[in-house]
Amino acid sequence: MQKPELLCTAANLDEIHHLINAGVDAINIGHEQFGLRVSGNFSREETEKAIQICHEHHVKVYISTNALFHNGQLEELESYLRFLAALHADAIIFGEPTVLMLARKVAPNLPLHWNPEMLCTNVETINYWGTKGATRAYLARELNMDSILEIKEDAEIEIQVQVFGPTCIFQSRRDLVASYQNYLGENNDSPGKEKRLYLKEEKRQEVCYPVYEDRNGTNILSAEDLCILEHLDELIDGGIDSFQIEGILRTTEELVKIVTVFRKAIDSYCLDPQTYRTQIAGWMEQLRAIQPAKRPLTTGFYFKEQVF
Amino acid sequence: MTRGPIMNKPELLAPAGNLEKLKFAIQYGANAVYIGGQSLGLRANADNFSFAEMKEATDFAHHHGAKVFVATNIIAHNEDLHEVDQFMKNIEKAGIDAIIVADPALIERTKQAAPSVELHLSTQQSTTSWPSVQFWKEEGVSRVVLAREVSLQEIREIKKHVDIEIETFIHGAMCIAYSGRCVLSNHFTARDSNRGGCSQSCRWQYDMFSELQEWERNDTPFTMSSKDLCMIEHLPELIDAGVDSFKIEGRMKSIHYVATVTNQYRRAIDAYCANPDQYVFKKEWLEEISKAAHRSMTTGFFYGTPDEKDLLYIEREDFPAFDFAGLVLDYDEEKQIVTLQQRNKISIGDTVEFFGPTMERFTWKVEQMWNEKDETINTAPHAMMTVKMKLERPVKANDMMRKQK
Ligand code: SF4
Repeated sequence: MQKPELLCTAANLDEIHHLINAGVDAINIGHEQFGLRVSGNFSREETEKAIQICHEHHVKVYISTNALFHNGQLEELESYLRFLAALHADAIIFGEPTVLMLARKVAPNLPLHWNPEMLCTNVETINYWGTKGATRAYLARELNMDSILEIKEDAEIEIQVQVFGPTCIFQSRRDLVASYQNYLGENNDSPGKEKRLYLKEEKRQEVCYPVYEDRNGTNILSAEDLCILEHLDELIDGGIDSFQIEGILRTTEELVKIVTVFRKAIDSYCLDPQTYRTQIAGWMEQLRAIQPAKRPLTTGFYFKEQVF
Repeated sequence: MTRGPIMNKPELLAPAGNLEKLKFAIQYGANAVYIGGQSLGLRANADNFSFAEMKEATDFAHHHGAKVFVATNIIAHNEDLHEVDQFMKNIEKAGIDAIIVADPALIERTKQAAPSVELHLSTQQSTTSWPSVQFWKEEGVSRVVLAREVSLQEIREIKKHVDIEIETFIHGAMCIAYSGRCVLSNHFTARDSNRGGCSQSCRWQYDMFSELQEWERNDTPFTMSSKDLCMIEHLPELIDAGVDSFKIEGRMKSIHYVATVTNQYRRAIDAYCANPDQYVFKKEWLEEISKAAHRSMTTGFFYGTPDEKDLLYIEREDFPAFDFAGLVLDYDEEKQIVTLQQRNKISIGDTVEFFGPTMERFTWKVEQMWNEKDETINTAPHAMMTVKMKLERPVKANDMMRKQK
C-alpha cells in the first residue's frame, strides 16, 4: 500500500527536532513576509538550518510563499526564491501567479505546490496549474470526502489534504483588530496570534473563532479543529499523497502528540487495516485529552452538505 | 502646456440585475453593463438572465453602442464544469461581448467552446501585482479586474509594465476580505461563498475577547463592515493612471440607484475628458449619489490601507433620503402634463425632483394629478399605476421622479 506523506507545520527549529523524532515525513515552514499564517517566522539562517537538519533525517521541507504579492514586494520575493533554490528546499508553496512568474526566472528547478486555500476546488484547475509547473495541489478544506477522492482520481499532480487543525476562513488585507482598538481608543500593540484573541458571533456565544493580525492583514481561523483520523483509511485507499497537520496556535508538546498519533495511525493502517480499526478509539481519546476547551474536534466539511 | 480633450475615454461599466435595469444603466450613461446568467454566477440570489433575455440585452446594448458582459466568476467544483461548454456556446450565440471569469478551468473551456467571447479576469482572483497581470495576459485574457486591495500608485505601475486593459471598482459595496479568500458563510450558514452563496456574514455583529485577559463585553461590536467605495471625487487621477474601465458594484441594486450613480460618473468622466485642464469637480454629483446610496463612503485602498475611519461601527445602515417615486412615460408639451408610472406613493403637496440622463435636475411641487381615467386624484397609492401630473417644465420618457422621505 502506498503510504501517504505525513506533513506538519513547524514554528521553530526546536519544534522541528521534536517533529522529526515524532515521525514526520515533511515539514512546512516560512516567514510571514512571504507566507500566509505560518506558525512561526524562520529567519534566513534558521531556514538554512532547518533544511539542513531535515535533509539529514530525510525529511522534506516545503516553504510557504503563498501570500498575495504587491509590486513593492517583488524584489524581496525574488531574492528569497533565489535563496531557497540555492538551499535545495524541496518545494515552495504558492497561491497566485506572481510567484510562478518570478520562479520561472530565478528558481526554475524549485518544485511548486499550489495552495490558494479555499480556491482549490476542482480537478481541471488543479491540472491547469500542473501544466504551469505545479507538482502538488493542497485541496480546499471546504471540499467533502467524495469530491476529494474524485479529484484524486483525475489529478495529474499530487494531492494534499488537511487532516488536523484549524483552517483559515477569512483573510483581509486590512488591520481589522487594530482598527477596532483604535476606534475604541485603546492603545494596544499589534494584535498578533500570541494575544489569543477570539471573535464570537453575537447569536452563538459558545463558538470562538481565533483572530489575529500579521503583515498580511487580518486572519480568522475556524472555531473547530479538523480531525480526520477516523477516516484516514478512506483517504489512504483513495491514494491521497500527503496529509497535512496544521500546528498553528498549538504548543510543541501538543503537536508532537498529534503527530505521533497520526504516524501510528498511518503506519498501522498500511500494515494491517484490522489493527488500525481497533485502535482508533484510543487514539481519538489521546487527541481529545490535549484539545483546548471550547475547540471541538470535528470532521469539518468532509461530510457536510453545503448549498449555494 | 494645455491638454486637449481625452480621446480614449475609459469605459463606464454598470451592474444590471435584469433587463429593465440594463436598459436604464445604458440610457443613463453606461458604456457597458455586466449581468448574471442562470448558472455559473456569483450572486446566486440576484435576478439572472436567461439566454433569450441575454439576446434581447445585447440587441439593445449594441444598438446603443454599449457592451454586455456576463459574470461567471464562481470558483468551480467538478460538478459545475459539465455545464460550462454549453453555457459559453449559448452566451456566444446571444452576442455577449465578454465573460468575467475567475477560475482557470472556465478560462480554458471558454477558449475552446466559445473562442469569440472575450475573457475578463474577475476580481475574485485577487490580482495584486504586475507579474501576475502579465501571467494572465499570457493566458489570453484581454482584461484584468484588479483586486480591490491595489492602490492608485500600483495601478500606474501595472499599466507601465503590462499592456492590457485594466478594470477597477470605483463605486459600491466592498468585500472586506480579499475576494475569494473568505468562507465565513460556509462556516456560519453552510452556504458556499465562492459559488454565489455569500451570506454577508462579515456584516454581522461580533464580540472580540482575549483568552489571556477577561474583557468586558464592549457595547461597540467588532465589525468587519466597510463603508462603500466612492471615487467620484478622484476620477481625473484614475483616468490619468490609465484605467480602462470603471466598474460600479451592485447587481442587486434598484433602478433608481443604478441610474443615479451611473449618471453622475458619466457626467464627471465626460466633463474631465472634454477639457481636463478646466475640469472642476461638481459637488452636486456627490449630492445626487447620496440620494440613492445609503452607506457612508470611502476611497478604499486607492490611497493606502483603510483603517477604522473606513469601517462601519455603530452607525449601521441609514437608508437613502429619497425614494424613486415615478418613471416618466410621456410628456405633453402643449398641455404641460407628464404621464408617470408610479414607483412610490405620490400625493398632492409633495415636493418631488425630476432628473434624467442629460437634463439638469429640478424640483417641483405636486399640485394636480389624474388617474388613467382622467379623474382628479389626491394621491397615487398603487405601485405601477399610471398617473398624470401638471408639470410646467419639460421632461422626456425614461426621466425619473424621486421624492424626499
Ligand atoms: S462574508 Fe463578507 S467578506 Fe466574506 S465573501 Fe461575503 S461579503 Fe466578502
